[in-house]
Amino acid sequence: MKGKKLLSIGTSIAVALTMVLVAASPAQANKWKPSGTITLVVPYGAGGSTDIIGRLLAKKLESLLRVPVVIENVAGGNGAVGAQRVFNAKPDGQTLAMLSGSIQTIIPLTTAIGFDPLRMSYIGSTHESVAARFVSKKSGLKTIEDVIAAGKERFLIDVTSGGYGLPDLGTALLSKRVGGIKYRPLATSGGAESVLRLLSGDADMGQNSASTTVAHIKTGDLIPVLIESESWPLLEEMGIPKSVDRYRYAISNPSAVVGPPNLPATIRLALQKAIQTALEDPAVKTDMEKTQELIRYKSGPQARAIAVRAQNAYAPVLRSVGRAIRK
Amino acid sequence: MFVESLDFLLLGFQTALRPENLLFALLGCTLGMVVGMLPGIGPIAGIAILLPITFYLEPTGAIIMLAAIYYGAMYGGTITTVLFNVPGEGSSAITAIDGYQMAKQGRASSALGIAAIGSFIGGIFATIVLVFAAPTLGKLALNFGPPELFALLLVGLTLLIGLGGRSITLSILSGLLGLAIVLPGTDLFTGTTRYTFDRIELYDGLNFVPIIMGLFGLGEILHSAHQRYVENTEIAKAKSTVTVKDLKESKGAIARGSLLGTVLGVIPGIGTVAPTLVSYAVEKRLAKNPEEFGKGAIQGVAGPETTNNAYANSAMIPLFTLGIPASPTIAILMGAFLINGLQPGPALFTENPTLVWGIIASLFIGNAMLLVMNLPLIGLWVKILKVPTRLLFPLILIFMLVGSYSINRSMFDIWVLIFFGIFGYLAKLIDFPLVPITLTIILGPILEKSLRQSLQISGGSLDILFRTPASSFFIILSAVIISVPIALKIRRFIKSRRTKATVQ
Repeated sequence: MKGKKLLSIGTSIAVALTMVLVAASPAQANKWKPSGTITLVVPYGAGGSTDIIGRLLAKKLESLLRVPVVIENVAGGNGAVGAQRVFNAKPDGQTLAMLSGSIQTIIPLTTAIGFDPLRMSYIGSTHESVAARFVSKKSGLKTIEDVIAAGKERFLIDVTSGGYGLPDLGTALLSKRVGGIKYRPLATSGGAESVLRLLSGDADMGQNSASTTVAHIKTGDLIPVLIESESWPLLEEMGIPKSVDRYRYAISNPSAVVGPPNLPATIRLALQKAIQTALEDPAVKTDMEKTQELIRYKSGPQARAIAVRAQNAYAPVLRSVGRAIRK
Repeated sequence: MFVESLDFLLLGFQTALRPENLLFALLGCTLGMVVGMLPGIGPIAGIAILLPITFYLEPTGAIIMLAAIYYGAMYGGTITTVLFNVPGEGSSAITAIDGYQMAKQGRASSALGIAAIGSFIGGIFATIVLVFAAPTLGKLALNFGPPELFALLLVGLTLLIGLGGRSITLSILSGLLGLAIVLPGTDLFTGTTRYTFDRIELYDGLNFVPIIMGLFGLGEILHSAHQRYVENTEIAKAKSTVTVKDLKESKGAIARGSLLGTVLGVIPGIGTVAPTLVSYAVEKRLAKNPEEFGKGAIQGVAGPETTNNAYANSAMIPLFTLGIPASPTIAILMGAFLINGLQPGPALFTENPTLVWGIIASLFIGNAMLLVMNLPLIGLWVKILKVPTRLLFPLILIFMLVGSYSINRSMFDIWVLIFFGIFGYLAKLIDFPLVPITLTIILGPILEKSLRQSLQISGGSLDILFRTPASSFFIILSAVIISVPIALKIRRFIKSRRTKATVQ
């Protein structure tokens, strides 16, 4: 009897302790200190916008966390190689990755990469990439209505970034929403090359992001006709329509800072707090905005929710065009 | 236009000659030399490592330094290539063939000297073109689309047929092996993987650098070890100057290399290595003594080395005029612009003339610095060869291993290096030609991409290969290059049969 009582007292103490610990966990979060250099893997080559934003973030995190934060560019497989490396790393907060949208959303649906990026521990998000549909000045097209009308008559050449990515998905969605347009993809090795094909007139249209297009929007050699991301302030000022308003679709390309699966909550929260603080620094934000991407802080759970939502939206389209792999 | 450019250039020199900018150029050149020399660590790694510095520096100085790393690496890459048969970076790979043979004959100084002089002339030529003809060449970049690129590379490929090796059959076999090596990867056009065996490391295909270091560098080391004793005495005795005869023999190659590198530098997508292959092929075809190639022909060093540096300087043209990075290295350089809130492209010349022209002027200064740095150092580099091989070889091996690993920080690339090292060694034992493998590894993917892109544009019709005078010319030229020797052979055959018939 006595023993039982002791046991129940013990249980009560344990429960109370757990409750105290749970209640204290946000406070605990700030107590985690990295044990040494943090490696932030950018799974793409150096120089792109994700890389630049990653570097600016790393620089700020260094002063906040008081440890060196180094960028490691591990390119390959559209981000799969670098992401997999972090997926398999020890979940101790010392190895993180800065993912762009496609490896979280479309790549797992189209390619057998052998791991699920959504299972990684989402720490936070710094930005979302912008995207818009451009037409070549030489195509003679000027508006999205021109594009649709021309696409009913003849095959338009749609320049893409190679493989089956967000630009392809954008064209497929547009075609679906307007009752079908004729187009033929022209694959390139990335954004810069696809801009070149638009400038040369080899391609009629294509979806592209900011870094290589802005210079040509100003000169009029590239004509933006439709904003396909949720927003793109520069183009909105020019009065370019949005796909989400007109054709009920948007291309979501959210970035995320992630750690290996099962990252302890204290570490995740401490890092999330650091990212939030970094983005609250106006100087950091201004520097990041030079890439033209939409810089905005999102918590880990929010960032994951955005990726899940995008994946769920893309999956049926990919299945209907026969691009989805069976999991 | 001409006078205007000169005015701007003078303004540029005012910027580039400021003490701090001179220091940045010198720093960049030195670092470039070092990363170029270290096997596997090329300009891409060098610039990527130093990219964060741009946060702390004023943009002109930072970009001057990063650009100097790029072309400095072109100078440095030659050194290990010539001395140890280990290409410091991809664009020096073809130099290994004749450069290393020259070193073996005690002419390492000639090879290094002519490479430095050629690089200098090529770099300066390309920069002059950049000053006066950038907009025109920028337009060329636009009009040189996939069909034109395919046709041009087809000429390159036909020129290279039968390059080195004792038999055509073996050369073709070797070339096909090269194609097999580049087959694994993700298909650019369908996004599906091919021959990757579900290995994520193969999704982007095999990396060129460990393959080339294995085939040439590691293969050579294993082969030397197999021979146990290496005749190093000749190398050590090397003279430390470039002779007038060397210059005379290479002047044509340097002139052609300057032109080739400058023109091809403008064409996005061709990459840093292919132009050097084209240059090598052209030199071999034009040589009075083509049989010398592969046995230490100085033109085989002068041509490609001039080309790669002319290319590196000329590759700035599409960046400045179109805002398009023509190669992965330039893409990182573009990142440095973006970090500083600068948008490369046509507007940059008007919005930021001091910066643009400062960088252009620094190209002249940097190339001159590299020449001055390189020529006196040749004697020192050659002395490295006096280090006993039992110390030197393990050291080179360590550098190759670290270099292979550092490309993607992956053990996989080390295995690639070792595999191709053993392959290169076995090939040497049976005298199997390695040059065609190298060629198809480089040209194969570009040929495939440009042909398939052409067909995507045309919807499958081959007519597109004749859409412009340039592409038609190249297609016809390659047909002529292939058919002339065959026609000559047939004529000789008929003639000999006739003479036989008359004798009977």
